[in-house]
Amino acid sequence: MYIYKLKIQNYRNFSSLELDLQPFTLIIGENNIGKTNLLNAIGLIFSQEITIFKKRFLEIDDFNYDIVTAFKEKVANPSIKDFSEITLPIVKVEVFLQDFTDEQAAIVADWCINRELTEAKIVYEFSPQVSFKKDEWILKQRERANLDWQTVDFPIDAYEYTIYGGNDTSNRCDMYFLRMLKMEFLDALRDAKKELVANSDSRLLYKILNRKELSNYDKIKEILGNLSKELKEDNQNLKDIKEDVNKLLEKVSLADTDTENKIDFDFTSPETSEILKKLGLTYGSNPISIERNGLGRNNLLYISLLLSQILEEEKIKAEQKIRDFTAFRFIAIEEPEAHLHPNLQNHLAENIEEIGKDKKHLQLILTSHSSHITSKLSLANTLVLFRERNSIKSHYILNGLNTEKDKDSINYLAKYLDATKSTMFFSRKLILVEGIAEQLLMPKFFEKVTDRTLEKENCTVINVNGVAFEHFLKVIKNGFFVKCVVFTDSDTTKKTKNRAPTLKRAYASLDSFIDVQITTKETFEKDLIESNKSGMGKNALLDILEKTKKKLSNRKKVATFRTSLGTNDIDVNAFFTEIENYKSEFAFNLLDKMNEDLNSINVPTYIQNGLNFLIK
Amino acid sequence: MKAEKPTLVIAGAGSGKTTNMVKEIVKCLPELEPHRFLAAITYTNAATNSIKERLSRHTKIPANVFVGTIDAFFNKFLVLPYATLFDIAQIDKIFIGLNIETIAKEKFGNDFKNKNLYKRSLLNSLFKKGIIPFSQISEISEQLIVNQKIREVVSKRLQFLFVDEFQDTNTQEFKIFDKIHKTGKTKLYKVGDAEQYIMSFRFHLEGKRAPVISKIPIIQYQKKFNVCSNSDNNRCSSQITTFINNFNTQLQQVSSRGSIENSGVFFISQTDLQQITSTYRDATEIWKDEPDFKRFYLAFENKTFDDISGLIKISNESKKNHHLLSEVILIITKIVGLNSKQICEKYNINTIQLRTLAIKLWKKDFANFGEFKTCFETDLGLHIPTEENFEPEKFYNELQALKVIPNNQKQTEYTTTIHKSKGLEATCVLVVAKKNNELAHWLETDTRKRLDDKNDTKRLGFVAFSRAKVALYIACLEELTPTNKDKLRELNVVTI
Repeated sequence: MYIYKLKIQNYRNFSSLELDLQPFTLIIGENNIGKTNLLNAIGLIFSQEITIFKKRFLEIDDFNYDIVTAFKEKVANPSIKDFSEITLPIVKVEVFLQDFTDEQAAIVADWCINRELTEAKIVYEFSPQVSFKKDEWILKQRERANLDWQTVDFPIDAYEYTIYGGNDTSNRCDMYFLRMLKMEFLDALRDAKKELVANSDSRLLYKILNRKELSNYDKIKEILGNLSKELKEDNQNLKDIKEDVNKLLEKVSLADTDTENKIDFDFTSPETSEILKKLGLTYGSNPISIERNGLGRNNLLYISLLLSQILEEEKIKAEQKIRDFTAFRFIAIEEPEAHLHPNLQNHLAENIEEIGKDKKHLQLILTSHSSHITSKLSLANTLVLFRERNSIKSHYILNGLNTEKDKDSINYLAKYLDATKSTMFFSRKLILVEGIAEQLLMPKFFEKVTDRTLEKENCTVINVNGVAFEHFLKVIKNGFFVKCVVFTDSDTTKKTKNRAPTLKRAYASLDSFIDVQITTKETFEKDLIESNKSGMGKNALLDILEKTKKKLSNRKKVATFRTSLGTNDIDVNAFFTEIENYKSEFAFNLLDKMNEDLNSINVPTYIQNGLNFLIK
Repeated sequence: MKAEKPTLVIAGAGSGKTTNMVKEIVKCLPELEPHRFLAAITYTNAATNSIKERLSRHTKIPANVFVGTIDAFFNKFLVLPYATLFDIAQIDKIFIGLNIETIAKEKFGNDFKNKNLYKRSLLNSLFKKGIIPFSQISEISEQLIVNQKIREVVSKRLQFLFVDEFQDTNTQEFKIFDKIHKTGKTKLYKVGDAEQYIMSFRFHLEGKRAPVISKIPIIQYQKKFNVCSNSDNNRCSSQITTFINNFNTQLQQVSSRGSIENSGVFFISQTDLQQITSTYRDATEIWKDEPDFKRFYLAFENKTFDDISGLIKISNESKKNHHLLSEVILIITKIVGLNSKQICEKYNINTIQLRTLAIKLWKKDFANFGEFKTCFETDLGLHIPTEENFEPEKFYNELQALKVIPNNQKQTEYTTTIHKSKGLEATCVLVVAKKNNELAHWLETDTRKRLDDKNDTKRLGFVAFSRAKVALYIACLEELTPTNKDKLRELNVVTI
């Protein structure tokens, strides 16, 4: 069984979101896109056993801000006389389940949406109680002297939550059955060190120890009982101390008939649960307490401890312990890369996908910011969350691609992402370029043209190392709607002169997302020279050329070249021949120059146009 | 505290009874206190589903709103909580469809004294085992409601009580409602139409004498209510409304749809059912483009139209997805002869394992009863009793019927009995009488005679006729008698 579809309404940053999930899904996306919120939304339906319990009662901050604002504005607008136009926002989370074992089907049967009983739906709804008198409440709000939407209250106290199954709101889920579907959520801010000590009921280690058959701890209890006797009665040192204290106690405090002035030593109470709380983990061949372990190690220990428990579950059969019976676990691990070195990240990523494979009682969701994790997991299971105008959209990277027809693109992307650890799916805007020279210079160009930085705009430059733009553009075209500009050479003198215009035409219909910009001359360098052939740019170019030619004799030639130019413009082709074999050095030196003085170099027109499209 | 008079809405066929009741319920919801209940009582599961569905279009249905049949209502609020407490029945209750009267009659024929004694002792032994026949639910409820404490508690729990199809409420049931009402804590709203009272068969089944219509609660106790009547007919054309007004002893309706061209009441003079239906089909082709076009084929008996191809039988017991597994478990309990708790104890399994068995039964396809029996006994490991007179095949058929997935294609041709057509409507309706005598009852216009009808035969005609929106076709499987011919002419029915 797994959640195959999820719908969220008005919860936190989602006004309306619908997405498909796989038994194993990796969710990626830029910061603040709502990965955690998405997982928390699922947590409103399923209860948690091992990890921290989430409240099902929401607070005002859990409502989508825009929706609440729109609602308040309507309340504060006395020209709206018809109160049926003002509806209170409702938070709704719907999970759709399928692929059941018979046992799982027996549990979710009352929530099914088809007669075959193979698909079920569970809905969490946080909505006003039916007894809430909206009209009276609105009138009361409007009585305020200075009516302003910001002073309007939100009637959160009138809200209640309901969890129902199927399409019938009155079909409340029986908690007895709902409890058998669980979610464990390892959030990004997990405190692994704390969880690995069993010193309280709420700690992971304690919960795990306590789940096993308790009678197996009897031997330990017996030994502890003897230890207690030794402490209380037989040890001379302790006995002496006890007597001394008791004597003094007699002198400083008054005993009445009801209390006895006497102390005793206690090692631990003989309750098994208390004994377990004394246990801690050690790690390594030279055992060190986890207190001394690094954050990264502890994080891995934590994840494996949790997963070990969950895998154990297969063995637990329904007849054994119906109260604790779990038919399904949804496991969400947020940023498994936390505190891990890239090598460890690679290792984790290579194995984690296997853990949940073919296990019908398990669904695993990871969220990640690490390109090391993302590049190792299969692209087909990778879901990108991204922003399109004001709403959050989702897209499986390979959606729309045909596994046969687009095999090359899929292979290319997988290899590219693995080799470069590209952050393209964490970005809001993309710049695709042909080579290293453009890649190097783009951040400065961007700064000059837009007055902003690439980082601030969450924009990534992708060096395609050639002209394989299509592989990337296909993903965008199929639903990963982020703004993207392609800078490509026209190659007008080559055989491939038709390539660039064909590419431009192919994506012309998607001109709100994709802009293909082509050089006016054959290559990027020539356009760059053209834009800087006179004035300040001319001087800068000549300086850079001088710096690029390392040999003294060559530098002298540049000096001669400069003199011979006089006040004439640079001849583009002649200059290009000079740098043709030194393109990357030339680019590095150009970058240096721009670092010194951003205005020393003019940005080629086609790049200006492309960048302006991007920030428009 | 003197209880305020409850509301009774006398509303004729097609007046939107249920719609108005739903509106009324929605109005009450904001007043509903969180610790009390609003209950809406219907007479069939289909009606329950329909009310729930309409309600959820307006609002979310709170947990303290109950919609269900009268048996479900009595069970929830009276039998289940109190029957054991007051030593009427064993703790684990199982409800079965068992006709005590038939069993007793087989043994003692018409020896009333011994028959009744036997019935009493049979019931007592059943109750001790926790077995309650459906027919006894209201009986037990009446015994319980006499107790003042129970009455108090029940009415404290019930803030609003809505009763749909109030004409079908019998005196025993009415008295229970009345006792609840008299405590003054429950607000009552009832709606019904005496002309559509066709529940006499219930009395006959139990070997009791059916009352004349003037003795059914909706008429007999009318002065206990604030009565409002609604004479709008939003369903039928004025041609059909005029026709059915001939038979209405309660109120004369006005069609809000007015006169519709080509609409009317017709008599098909053929006597062969195949010919009748084909004439009906041809004649009603002109209505094909009407919104929600549907054709009904109605008769007293369910099997009348069995030989006509392409018709769908309307089942009153349409089950929602989320009730399916419970239904399968119910079938298992009926076959095994134990309730779910007893099954779990006997076979040492838990609830989830029992449900898992039900899922297995649901997922498997059976070609015949033999296959089913093997699966039931071998795969599920459950024992089928081999008592005399016990026919497990009946329950196998029940399961198979449950498995039939309703066709989602747009269907237009439906058949059902007149009894089950209550509350439904269709663009065109064909009503077929088996005999001249039956037709004569339907066409009776004498108010006196209609009111004295104890067997519903006259009112059944009214119920069938009033289902039609624009075209009503009547036919008879016998050659018409001159009396019936004259009657039809007198009623301006066009013969074709």
